[in-house]
Amino acid sequence: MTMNERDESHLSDEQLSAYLDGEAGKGPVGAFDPEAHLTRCARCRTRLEALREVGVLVATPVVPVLPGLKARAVAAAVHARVDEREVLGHSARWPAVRLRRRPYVVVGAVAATAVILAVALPLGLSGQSSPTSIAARHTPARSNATNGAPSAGTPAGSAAAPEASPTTTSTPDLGVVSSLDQVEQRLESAKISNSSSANAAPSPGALEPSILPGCVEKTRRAAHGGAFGPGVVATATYKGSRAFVMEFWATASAPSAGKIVVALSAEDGCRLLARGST
Amino acid sequence: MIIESEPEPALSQDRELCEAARSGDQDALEKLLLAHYDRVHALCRRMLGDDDDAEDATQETLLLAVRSLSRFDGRSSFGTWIYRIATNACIDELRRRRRRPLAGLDHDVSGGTERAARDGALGPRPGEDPAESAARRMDVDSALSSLPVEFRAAVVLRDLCDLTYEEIARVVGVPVGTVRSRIARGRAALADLLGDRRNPREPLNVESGQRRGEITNDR
Repeated sequence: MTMNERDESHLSDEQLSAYLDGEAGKGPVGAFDPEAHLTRCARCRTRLEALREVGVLVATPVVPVLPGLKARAVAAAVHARVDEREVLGHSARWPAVRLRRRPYVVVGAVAATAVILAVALPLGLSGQSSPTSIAARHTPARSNATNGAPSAGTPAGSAAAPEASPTTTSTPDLGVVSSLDQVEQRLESAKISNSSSANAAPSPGALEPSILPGCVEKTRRAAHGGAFGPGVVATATYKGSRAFVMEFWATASAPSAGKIVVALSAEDGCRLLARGST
Repeated sequence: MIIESEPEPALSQDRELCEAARSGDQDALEKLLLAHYDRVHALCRRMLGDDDDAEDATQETLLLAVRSLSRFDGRSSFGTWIYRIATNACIDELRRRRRRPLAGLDHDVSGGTERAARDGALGPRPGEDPAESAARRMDVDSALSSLPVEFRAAVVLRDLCDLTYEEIARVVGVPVGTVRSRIARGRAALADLLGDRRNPREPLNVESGQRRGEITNDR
């Protein structure tokens, strides 16, 4: 029952709500004695409890804040301040720092992985649209991926410190591939040889491991929220398209990646090519 | 499992840290931000209904707070001030969402399952059935998302952030009377929406041509 439906012999939602908040009698609803009314009116007591319950539900936090994420977010903000002071002519536009969860938990978290291919369209690859280095954001080998804070000595001008320095040397290129099976085989080979050249012919053209920020979110969501994982693990040319190969580990909230091929509009310069489980 | 937030930072401690941070003390700035992170994150999560967007909005809030710290005049508490930044960051994000409907496509497909699993993983309240726990959280997120953003902000700032009506008025820049009305109407709409879901066979109020819980205007 909404406030408008309540007749004048009962307290309004506004009166009840203000009473709950200790704000009764302070506003235009004027002085009233809700307690006297409430002792004799079951209907208003029921409504009061319903409004109180809403407050309790809204006040219950739903997501734990991961300690590492919190520390990184704060450290990035503090470093950004230093950077702003040191860099003359800093753009009025605040850098797009987006710190996702990183692969904190390794043990037991890799029962299954989702491999995702994402292609950044020319806009994203050209480097003219402030691409964000996704590899720098997700690669676990980076020093700040496991210790919960950006590494010391962050260079000036890289407010988004983890994002700002490309890691072109640690990302293997899988060459020309046409299926997820090929991707997985070559990934395995690349891991064994620990070589950036993998075992196939290089992709036509060099692909910087940088990607438009919107692409990260699409790929992560395509993994059904498998937010944990190294992120970009390789580059490739997939069915003629320049692509990033991304891995997300299965988690309790993302137990399976499914095998759906997702194609999205290239609204922000990114579409997903394939998705599968290993 | 109910997640425990850090206790609200003491005002006097905030003032000291804020002064030190403004004079360039990086440790003080870090302590100040760490002290407020949980509540800012909780605000963003409730406003946006999405974990990742909440993380982004929280990050954006911290950056804007750091950038604007020199302009913080201390007339309100640091907490109220950073809530204002966070609320605006969330409103900006919600506006961006409206401008890019395609971005929600994959989210619509997988979001329900993902969120149900994630919420279920958080566990029930003491004595609560796990299935009910997950459903309740989904209901609250869905119900909140159906409210106009200004009503959502008023309810969240009151119930989650525990701000007074006067503080909320300063945060969102409207008169106290408007805050009072928005909180009441927002809660009433939520109570009706959640009540509908608990009792799905209960008929909706169709006589007025308006769905129960729907808010159509503001004063």
